[in-house]
Amino acid sequence: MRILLALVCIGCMGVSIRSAAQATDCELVLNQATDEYNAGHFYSISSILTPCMNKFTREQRQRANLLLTQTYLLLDNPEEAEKSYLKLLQANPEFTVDESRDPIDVVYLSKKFTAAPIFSISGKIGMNTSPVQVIRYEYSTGVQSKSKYSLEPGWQVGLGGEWHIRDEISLNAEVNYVASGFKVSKTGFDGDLLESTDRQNWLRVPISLKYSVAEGKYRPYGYVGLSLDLLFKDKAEIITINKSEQDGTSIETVAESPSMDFTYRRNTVNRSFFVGGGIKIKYKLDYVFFDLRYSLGLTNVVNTNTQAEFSDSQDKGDPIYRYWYTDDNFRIDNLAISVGYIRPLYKPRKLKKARTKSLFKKIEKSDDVE
Amino acid sequence: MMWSRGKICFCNLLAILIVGYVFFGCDTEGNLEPQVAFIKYYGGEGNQEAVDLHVNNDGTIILLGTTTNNGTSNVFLVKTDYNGNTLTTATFGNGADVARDLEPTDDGNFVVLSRFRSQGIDSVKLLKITPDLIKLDSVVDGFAGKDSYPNTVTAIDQAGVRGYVVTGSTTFVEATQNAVRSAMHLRFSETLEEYAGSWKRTHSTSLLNPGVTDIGVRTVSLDATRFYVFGYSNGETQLQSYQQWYYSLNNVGIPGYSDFISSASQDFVSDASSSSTLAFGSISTSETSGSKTLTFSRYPIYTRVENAREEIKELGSPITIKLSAGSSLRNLEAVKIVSKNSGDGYFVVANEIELDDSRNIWAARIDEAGNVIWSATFGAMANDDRAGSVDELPNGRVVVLGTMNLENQDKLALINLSSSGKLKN
Repeated sequence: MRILLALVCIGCMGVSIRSAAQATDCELVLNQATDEYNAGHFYSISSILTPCMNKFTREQRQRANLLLTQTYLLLDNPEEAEKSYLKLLQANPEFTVDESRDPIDVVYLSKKFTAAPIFSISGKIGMNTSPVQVIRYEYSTGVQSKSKYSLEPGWQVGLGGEWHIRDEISLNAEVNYVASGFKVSKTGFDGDLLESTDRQNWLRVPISLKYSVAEGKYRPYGYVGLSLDLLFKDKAEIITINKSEQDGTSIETVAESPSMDFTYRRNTVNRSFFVGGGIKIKYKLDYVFFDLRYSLGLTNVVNTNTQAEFSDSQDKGDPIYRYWYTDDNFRIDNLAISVGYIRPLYKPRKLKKARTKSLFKKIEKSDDVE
Repeated sequence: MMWSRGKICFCNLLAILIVGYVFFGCDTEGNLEPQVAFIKYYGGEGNQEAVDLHVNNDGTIILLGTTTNNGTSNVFLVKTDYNGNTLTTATFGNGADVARDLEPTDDGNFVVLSRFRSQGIDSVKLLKITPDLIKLDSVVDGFAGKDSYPNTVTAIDQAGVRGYVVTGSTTFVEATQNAVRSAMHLRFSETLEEYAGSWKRTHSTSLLNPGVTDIGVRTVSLDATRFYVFGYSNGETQLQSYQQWYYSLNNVGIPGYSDFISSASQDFVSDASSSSTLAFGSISTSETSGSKTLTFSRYPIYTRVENAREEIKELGSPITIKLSAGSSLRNLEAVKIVSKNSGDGYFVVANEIELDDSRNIWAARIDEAGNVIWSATFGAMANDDRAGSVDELPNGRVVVLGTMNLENQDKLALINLSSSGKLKN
């Protein structure tokens, strides 16, 4: 076993030593090509770099292709220059030319290309809570004592896709699994208490329009959208406390229900409107983001047809017949905080229309100054 | 160009979102159907047992029950609005009252019948209350030194002379009789004064058999001069089994014709009612070989012409039909029958007995022939829920009163059903 472990370690070391050696060798090659470029020996540069093109690190490949782009432009070979620039963008999709440093023809060429992502994919996880908005109180006792709702923590996980309409504006679609809940308490019969803890499982499919700041390490964003919310599971547990007095002593008799299936008491298809925002933090070529979202439930979650239904099933329990529980009609909001990761799917490509207008303006401006 | 295309796209999407929002809309109270069907519970500290209910013309409902707490029991009343919301509640009694029946009076008030126990003797208590559950008067009556077990109270009107007849049984046995319990009927005036003479008496099926038990359940008016008391007795069978039994009362409360109806090994009448179609209907629990069924008996009323000009109404021989719960394995215990206000037939409530002997509330509408038009069961599995009464609302919906066992306490339950017996709007 130890021998096997030692062999694996030696193997790994061998691979890393070989990679480091290659990188060093190719760095020498890259330096040599740069020297040739500076010496005006443009025709040899391509052949110098070719052996290392598949061995360069990402950063070296960027430098090599920039050198080739400059070289081909000087050799008046725009086709190869464009190919090299495209490869440069493939090596580093976020490469931007430095107008003060890079030759003007490279700057001009860069305006014909973009590597901006058309789509991004993301994943997120977080916590939520669900405020209940009562549409109409329903009473299971003759006394009209309103239910009181309190928040319960939940969690969510989701996957999303983003279509970048512009650098700042995108259309987002997500599929989120949301586990949420709330607690409701009711009073009746001379101070008796009822408390129900309702746990829900949702599949939410939100679609939103998002505005993001497109530059910088920290990129705030905000969005607004509609969501299709499928409530596919709902379970509740009820506790009733019967308060009484016997021989001058207060007695509380507690009855606890088993976990009861409330799915049949809920509408499966619901809708919500939501707003949210957060901040994306650049991490290498991707983003880590923190998101805060408030969803406003639009639909009555309670199935009015089964609100007082008697059930013969043990799972469903008898919330009304056994625990004097009846649902109010309500919508459910959701406040969610998430942390996630965005991977932009960069697509280096030539633009159909070059963005050279601003460049020309700059050139004209500098001519005027001179 | 790229910017403006994006801008157009953004605007389009924003428009789609807004239209979508408007299209989808938001559920508010305005677009929720009013909740007409309901189950609502009523009670206070301790347990409350449902007994009877009455629907007023304005749609308000009076519920009657017995509340027990710390070894005491009292009459418990609730007045609700049309939606079952409590308007007022009241408790009456001396700690030893068991509610038995609720009857509206012609002056717009109500009489509440209860069994009142004092110094070891059970008596009849009548309580007169306003529709707002305010006590007007009360009276305690019975047979001195003997127990009286009242079952129902019936308002009667004899050519403008109104009063109330309490029906039940008593351990007071007249000297010529050998019964252990005799049926009794007691009449009270509108002001709850006792009628003397034959309106306070017992009646027995057998003068010969010692140990006979005769129970009066309800008195029903045939007209101003003739009444029928429905009950059950073991007198006819020499104590072997109970049979349905009824006897007539004349205009001064003297018993006349009586008869027995045998439909099972044991037959215990629980209630009777007059219908709008010249008939009386009664229900009884029939026991045969340990199984219980509900027997509906329809007594047709026919008119006999006497002396070529005098028309006399009389009760004909009944037809009986057995009603069964949804499952043949489940037994039924008859509780109450109420004639339908609109159209023919009756509403019936009973206890449906589960295989584990726990009970559910069974409500049904039957036609004049005893055919079940609809039936419905309410209650939790394995919990002991009991039927109380039933009545029809002015709009044709049906309200059922029962006792629901809510795990650790019993409460009155009012169930509002559609005219077809569904718990739906």
